[in-house]
Amino acid sequence: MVTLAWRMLRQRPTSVIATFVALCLGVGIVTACGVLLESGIRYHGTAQRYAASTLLVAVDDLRIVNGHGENREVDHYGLPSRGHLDAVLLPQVAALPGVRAAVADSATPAQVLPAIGTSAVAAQVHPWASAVLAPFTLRAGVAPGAGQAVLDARTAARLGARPGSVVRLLLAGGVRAVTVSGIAATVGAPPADPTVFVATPPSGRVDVIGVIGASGVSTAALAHEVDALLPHPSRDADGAFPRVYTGAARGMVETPEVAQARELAVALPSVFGGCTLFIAALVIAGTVGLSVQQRHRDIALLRAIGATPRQVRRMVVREAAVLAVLASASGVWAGFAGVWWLRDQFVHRGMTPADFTVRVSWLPPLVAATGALVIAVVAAWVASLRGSRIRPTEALVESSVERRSGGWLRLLLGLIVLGGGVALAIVAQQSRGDQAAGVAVGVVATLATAVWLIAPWLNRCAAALAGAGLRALGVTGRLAAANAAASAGRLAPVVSSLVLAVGLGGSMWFVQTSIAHRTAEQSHAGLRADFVVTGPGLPAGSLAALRDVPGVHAVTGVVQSVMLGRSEGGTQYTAQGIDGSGATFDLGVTSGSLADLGPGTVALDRLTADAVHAHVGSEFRAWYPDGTPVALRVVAVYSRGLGFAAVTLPAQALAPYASGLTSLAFVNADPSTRPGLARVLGRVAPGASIVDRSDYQAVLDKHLAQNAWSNQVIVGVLLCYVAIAAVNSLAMAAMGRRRELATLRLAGTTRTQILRMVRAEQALLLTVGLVIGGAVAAATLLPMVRGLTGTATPYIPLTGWASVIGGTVLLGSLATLLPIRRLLRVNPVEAIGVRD
Amino acid sequence: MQAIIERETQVQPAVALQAVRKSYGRGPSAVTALNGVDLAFPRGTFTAVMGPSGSGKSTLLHCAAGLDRPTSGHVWLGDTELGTLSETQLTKLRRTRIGFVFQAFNLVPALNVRENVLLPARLAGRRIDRRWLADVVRRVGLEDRLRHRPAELSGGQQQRVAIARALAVRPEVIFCDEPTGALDSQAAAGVLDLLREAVDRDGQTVVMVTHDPVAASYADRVVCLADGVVVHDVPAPGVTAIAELLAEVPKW
Repeated sequence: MVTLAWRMLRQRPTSVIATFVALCLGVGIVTACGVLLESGIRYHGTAQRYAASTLLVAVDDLRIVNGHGENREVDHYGLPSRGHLDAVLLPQVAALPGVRAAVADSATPAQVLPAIGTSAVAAQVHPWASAVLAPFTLRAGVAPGAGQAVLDARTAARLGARPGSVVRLLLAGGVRAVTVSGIAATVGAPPADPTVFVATPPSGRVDVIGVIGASGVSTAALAHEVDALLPHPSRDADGAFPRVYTGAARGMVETPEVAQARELAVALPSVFGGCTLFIAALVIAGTVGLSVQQRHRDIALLRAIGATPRQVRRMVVREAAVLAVLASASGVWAGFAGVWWLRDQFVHRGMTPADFTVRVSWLPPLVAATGALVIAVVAAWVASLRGSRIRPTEALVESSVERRSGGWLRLLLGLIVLGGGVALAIVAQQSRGDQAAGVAVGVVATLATAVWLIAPWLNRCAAALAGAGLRALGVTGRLAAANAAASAGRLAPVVSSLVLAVGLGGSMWFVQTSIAHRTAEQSHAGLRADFVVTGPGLPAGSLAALRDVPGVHAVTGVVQSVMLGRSEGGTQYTAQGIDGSGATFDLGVTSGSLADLGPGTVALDRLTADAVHAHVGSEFRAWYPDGTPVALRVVAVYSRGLGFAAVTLPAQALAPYASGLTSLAFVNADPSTRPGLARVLGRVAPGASIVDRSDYQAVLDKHLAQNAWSNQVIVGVLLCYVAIAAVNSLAMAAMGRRRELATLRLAGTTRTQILRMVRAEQALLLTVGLVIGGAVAAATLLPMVRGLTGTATPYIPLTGWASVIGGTVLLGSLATLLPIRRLLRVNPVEAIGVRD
Repeated sequence: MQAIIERETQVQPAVALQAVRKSYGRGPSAVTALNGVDLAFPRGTFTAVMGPSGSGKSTLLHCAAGLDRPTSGHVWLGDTELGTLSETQLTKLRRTRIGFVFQAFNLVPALNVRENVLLPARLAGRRIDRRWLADVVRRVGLEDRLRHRPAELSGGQQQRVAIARALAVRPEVIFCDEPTGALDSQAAAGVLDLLREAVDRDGQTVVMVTHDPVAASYADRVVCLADGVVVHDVPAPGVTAIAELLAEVPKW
C-alpha cells in the first residue's frame, strides 16, 4: 500500500508541494516560538561584576499574588530598577559564621568626560570596596581617596586618562572634577558597563550586598543562613522584597536589562504562540483536506477495484504522516535559522544585551513536529472518510457532480463559533499593549474558522447575489455563475484561507499603524515648545540656568521613567515627572487641573484612568520603579497619554528613579536665544543638545516605528504563511479542474472564453474573500483600536489599502490563472481521457 | 422463480437474483432502474444482458456484483447472500470472488500493467501463482507491456489488462460492462475471444452487458431488459436473430 500511495502522489506534484510547504513552514514557525521561549527562560545574563561573589542580596523583583485560597499564584516580575536594602543588614550578614566578607555596593549612572571636550562615556559609579566582588585589581596607581576616582581600563583608554589626569563626572548634583588615582581591570571579561570607583558613592544607599563565603561552606547552606536574616513578606503581600540570589541568577541582579530581555523573549511567543499554533493547525488541516478531496476519483477507483474503506483511509493517512515527518525535518531547521536571525536583530537594536544566546533543545522541535503529524493525520483521516465510504458505482460516474455539501450540524457549529469570535472581539477591547496583538490574532483565527464552517452557504449566497450581474456578461458569465453556485462547498477552504489572509493583514498591521499615528498626532498636537533639550541627562541647576537666559519665556523639565500599577498586577505605565509651567505643552486635560499637581498627587491619562477605575479625587496605588509602594491622589485626567506619558507626577517624585537627572527640557523662547542656550548647556550639562521642535518630533516618530518592530516581525511572518496557504489552495483548486475544462473545450468553448469565465469566477471569489475578510478585520480592528487609543477610528494609510486589496487580487489571480493557463495547453481529448 | 432455481439444483448458480428492485431518489423525481428482476446465471456459462438505454442493464450488473445495494430483493453469489454483508465484507468478497471489467477508467493510472493486474490480490493480501499469472498475461497478449503505464496503451490494450486483472484472481464470476463499447472491431474481437476462451477452457462464468448484437453472439444465452424487467431470455441465437429481438423490444 505504501508504494501505491507513493506512486499516486507522484502524479500530483502540486498537491504534494502545497502540503509540504504548509507543513514545513508551520513547523518552522512553531519551533521558532518554542526555541525563543526556552532561550528566554534559560537566560540569566552573566555575572561579571559579581563573579567572585558566592551570593547576592538585592531587591530585584516584584512579587505579585494573584487569586485567593486554592487559586493563589505567586509570580515574580523583574523590577525596572533595583530597590534599596536596609543598611542595618550589612553588619548582620557580615557577622554570620559562614561569611568571609560582605560588601555593600551601589550603582550610580554618570557621564565621564575628559577635562576639556564633550565626548562622554556613560559609566556607573561604584564604591571602591565593591571591587573585590569581580574582582577588579589595580593595574596602576592606588585606591581612591576623597576627590579621586579609579577608572576601569577601558574607560581610561577611551578618555586617554592615566593616574594623575583629571576627569569630570556628570552626576545629578552637577559636574565634578576628580583626579584619577589608579586604573583597575578584571582578569576575565569586564562587565558590560564601564565602571568608575570612588571612595564614597554619591548616594548613601545600599543596592546590593555581595557575600563571599568562607572556604568549605556550601552555597546552599550559606544562602539559607542569609535568607533567615531577611524580612519575609506575609502570604498575600504584593511588593518588592529582598531576596538571596545565587549562581546564574546573579546575572539578573547585575544587569536589570536582563530581566527586560527575558520578558521580551518570553512574552513574544507566549502572546503569539497559542494563535500561531491555531493558525498553523487551520492551514495544515485545510491544505491536507483539500489535497485528499482532489483525489476522490482515484480513491473511488481503488474502492471499485477492491480496496476496503479502511485500506483506503490507511493509505491516505500514512501518506499524510510520511509527508508530515519529512516536512518537519526541514521545517525545524528553518525555525532554528529564524530564531538566530531574530536574536541577532534583538541585539543589534539594543532590545537585549549582547550575551543573550539562543538555547536549542529537543523539546520545541519535538512538540512542533508531533503537533504537525497529529494534525495532518487527523485532517487526512477526516477528509478520507467521505471518499472511502462512497459506493464504488459513484466512482464510475463520469462527471464529478458535487453533492449538496454541508449539513445542518456544520451550519450550527459555524454559527456557534461565529458567536464566540464576536464575543472575543468585544472582550479584546480591554486588552492592553503587548497582549493586544496576540488577542487580535486569536479573534481573526476564530472568525476565519467560523467562515470556513459556513462557507458553503456564504458562497451560494454570493453566487446568487452576483448571478444577475454575471449573467449579463454573456455566455462566459452564465458559465461562471453556474460554476460558482455548483462549487460552493468545494471552495470553502479556499474562501476561508483568503478571509484569514485578508483579516489578519487588515487588522494586525493596522493596529500598529493606528497606534503609531495616534501617538504621533497627540505629541504633535500637544507640544508647544520652540526648542527641546535632549541628551544623556540634565543635572540639578540646569533648568534654573536655562531660565536665566534672556529671551526665554518658559522652561519645563521632564523626567521620564515608568510606574508599576498595583491593581493591575505590576503593569508598567510610561510616567513623566514635570517641573515648571505647562505653557510648553498641552496634555489635553479633560477634568481637574495640572496646577494642583504637588507632592502626593498624580495626573492620569484617560485610558489609564478607565483601566484602574480612577477619577479626579480617587486614589491611585502604584509602585515606583524600584518597588517602593505609594498611594497618590488623582488631581487631573488628560487625553494625550499616548503622545506623552500615561502617568504624570511632579518631577521631584520621579527624579530619584532617573538617577536624579532630568531627561528632557521643553523651552519656549525666541529663536534668537538659541546660541545663548547652547552656551549655557555646554557649561552646566555637557553632552546635551538643543533641537527645534520639528527635528525632535522627527526623532520621536522614528523611535515609534522601531518600537513596533518585534510585533511587526511576528505578524509579518504569520501573514506570509497565511498568504502562502491561500495561494496553495487556489492553485490546487485550479489544478483540479482539468477534466471540467477539457469537457468545456470539447463542447466548443474557446481558450479566450474559458479564461474570461475563470476571471469572472475569480473576481467573485476574491470579492467574497475581500468583503468577508474586511468585515473580519474591521470586527477585530475597531474594538482594539478603541481600547488602545481611545478613539474607534483606525488609521489606515493609503499604502495599507493598496497593499491589502492589491496584494490579494494580484496573488489570487496569479495563483489561479497560471495553473489554468498551463491546463489549457494540454489537448482536451487527452486531458479528458486519462486522469483527473 | 423458484422453478428456475430448482431447475439448476444439482449445481448452484454462480449468481442469482430474486425480486430485485432498485430505485434512485425520492418522491416525484424518483427513478426506478430495476422493477422486480428474477435471474439465475449458471456456472460455466457466458450470458449477454442487452436492452435499450435506460433499461437498467448496468444497474443489474452493479447489484449482481455487489457494487450497489438493491432497494429490495435478494442477490446471491453462490450461497452467500450479498444483502447481509457490510460494505467492508462486500469489498473483500468482491476482490477475490468477483472480477469486474468496466467500460472505461479501469486501471489505476499511476501503476504499470503488472501492478494493475496484481492489485486486487495485493489488496486482499494474497499471492498469485506465478505460472497462472504468466499464463493469463500471455493469453491477453501483453507479455511485452508489463512495465508500461495505462497512458502508454491503446484502449483495446487497456481493456485486455482489465480482463487479465479479472482473470488473475480466478473469481467465481466475471462481470463485464460494455467491454467492447470503445473498441474497434478487431480489438473487440480479441477481447471477446478472450472471454469465450475463459468460459470454454477454464469453466469461468461470464456475464456481459452489451448493446452490440455481434458481441452478444459470442454468448450462450441472451437476456433482454426493458424498463427494469426481463422481457426475453433465450439460448444463443445467431446475430440476425439477436438483432430482431432487439428491434422488438419496446423502446420506452
